[in-house]
Amino acid sequence: MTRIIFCEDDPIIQKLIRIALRNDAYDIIIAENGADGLMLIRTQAPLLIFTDISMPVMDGVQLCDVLKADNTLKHIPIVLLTASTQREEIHEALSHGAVTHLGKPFSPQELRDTIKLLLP
Amino acid sequence: MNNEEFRLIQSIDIEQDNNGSPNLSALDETLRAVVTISTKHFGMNAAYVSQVFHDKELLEIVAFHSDSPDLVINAGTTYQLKSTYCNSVAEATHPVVIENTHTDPTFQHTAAHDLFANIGSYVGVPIVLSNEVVYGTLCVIDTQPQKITTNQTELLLIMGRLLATQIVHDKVTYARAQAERDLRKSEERYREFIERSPDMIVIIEDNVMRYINLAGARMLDFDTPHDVVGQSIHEFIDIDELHRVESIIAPNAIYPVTIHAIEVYLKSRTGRQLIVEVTGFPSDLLGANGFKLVARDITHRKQIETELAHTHHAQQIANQDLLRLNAAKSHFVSIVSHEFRTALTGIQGFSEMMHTEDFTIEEMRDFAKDINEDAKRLNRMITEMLDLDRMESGTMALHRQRTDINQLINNVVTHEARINQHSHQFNVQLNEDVPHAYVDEDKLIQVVKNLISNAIKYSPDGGIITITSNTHNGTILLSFADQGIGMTQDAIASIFERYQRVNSGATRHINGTGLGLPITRQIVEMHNGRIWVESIPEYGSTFYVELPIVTAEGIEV
Repeated sequence: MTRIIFCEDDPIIQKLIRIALRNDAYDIIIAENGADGLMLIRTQAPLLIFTDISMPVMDGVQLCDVLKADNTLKHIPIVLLTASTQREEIHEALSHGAVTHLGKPFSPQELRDTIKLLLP
Repeated sequence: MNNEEFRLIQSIDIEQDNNGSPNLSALDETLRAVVTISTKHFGMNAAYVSQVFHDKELLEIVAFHSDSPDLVINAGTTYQLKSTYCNSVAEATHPVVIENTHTDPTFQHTAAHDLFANIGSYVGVPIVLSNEVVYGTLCVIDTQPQKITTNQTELLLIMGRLLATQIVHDKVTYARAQAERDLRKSEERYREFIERSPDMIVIIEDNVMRYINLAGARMLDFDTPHDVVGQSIHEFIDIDELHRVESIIAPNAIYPVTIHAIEVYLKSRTGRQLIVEVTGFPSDLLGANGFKLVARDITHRKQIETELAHTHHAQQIANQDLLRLNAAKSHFVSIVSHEFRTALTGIQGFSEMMHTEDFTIEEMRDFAKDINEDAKRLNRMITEMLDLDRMESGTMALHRQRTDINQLINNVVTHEARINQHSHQFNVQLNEDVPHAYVDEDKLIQVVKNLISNAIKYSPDGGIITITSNTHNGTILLSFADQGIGMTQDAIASIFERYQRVNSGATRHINGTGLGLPITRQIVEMHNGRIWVESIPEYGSTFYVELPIVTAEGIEV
């Protein structure tokens, strides 16, 4: 089953992700922060990663840096979950290696479309 | 006596202006005496003294004595010189004797003969001032022809000379007086210029004040220049300042320099400091002995300049503050929009799915609860922002009522402990001596709530949160201690400021608008209280709230 790892600390958004993707054949794993997410990425080999930018312990940008520096992990596409509308901020965040971003508030359909676009 | 003095003498009209000439009336008397004596000595009718003018064209009678009513000439009468017997005296500068004007071959057909037809005899001698200048004539006349002896003529000549001496003396005296008067006038003009100058004008010799004008004395807080003259300049200038000024002047001192607009600090008699702008020149070529200086008091101007500089500086600081505030505002907007968008994600996502997808009624209820919670979160953030705005603009009023502070704390702790999803422990130590106080209960609940939720936010799960109440120096002192991540001194300085939140990688995940502490501070300060924090990074923070004890509404004790 297609495994996707989400790094997101807001409990309601966590729940929204699970419900939105409940009908698709995805194996959804959710981490509370970047550090937990990194550990899960190393062990669970996801095909796609979504990460919030603003998180405790390790934020989304730091996570991108670590993943892109790791030869065994750098091929996994990363999608940033952003709450900013500032182009400069988004561009800066994307420069750390994420393939695209999904702006909050996002609709369940946008989430599903983004996944379909990035997965074979 | 030189030519110049004589020109001066000749230019003076004695009759018109005898002010300032103390001997002029004496000369008049002398003249009168001479003509009287001459008349008597010669045994003739009359005698007079004349003065020639206008390059010997005119003759004026300046003194006249007559024993005969037939021979009267008023003093002051002026004739054409040529029409008088005196003409030949003035021309020849030697005595002229006419014993009988009617028979004298030289004068029988002259104009004088026609004009002075009743003059029978005439003796005239010139009054010759030194340097051959003819002043006029001394003459004796009679209606009848008279015999004149050589001795008489000699005597008249001597009297003429004596008169000349007297006239010269008087005229010189007068001229001197006049010259002195002119000089004095001229000096007075300069002196007035100097003495009434609003600038200090000073002459310094060998570091001693030799002259100072009134304005200068006043600048130095003296009543009169007299009080200053003779004093050393060291009384008015510090030695370091003097050396500084000397060093400015010195490089050019071998030349006759002018001192142009040097700013010098002086001290007055009363110790007042003044700043003057000095312009002047050395008294001699070397500038060693002294200076003549003009000093303008620019203290006020300098003050204004300084004030302007300060204002400018303050403006720059204000501008920097504005820039900082602007940056903080941008930061705040970014935080708020992040929080808003996070809350909106739940609301939008769940409502969209409920609208387009199939769920059980239980699921629907569950989602509705989540939507409701996010909506309340949004509402709380908006309320906080508006509250802070109202508090900061002073439009929010307190509604004080008698409140049991300890009870209030207990209630909030109980509530927070119940809704706390983490496993923090609350250690509550309330002093029973804490009195009831008149406070705005709702707002004080907000304070306690904010500080407890703050402690929870920044503490690890299972951490102990200690809350105390006490009376201290007539105030109520509350403390809220956590075992959280603590703060650096830099962070402490800004946490109560709006738009600020400790924003390191480790803390920026913590939700909130960052307005909790600014609001808390505003409420405490509205109660005339104080809030502060003591913190050690990695060990935790303790927030203190100090409230004045208000026992009756509005009355502090």
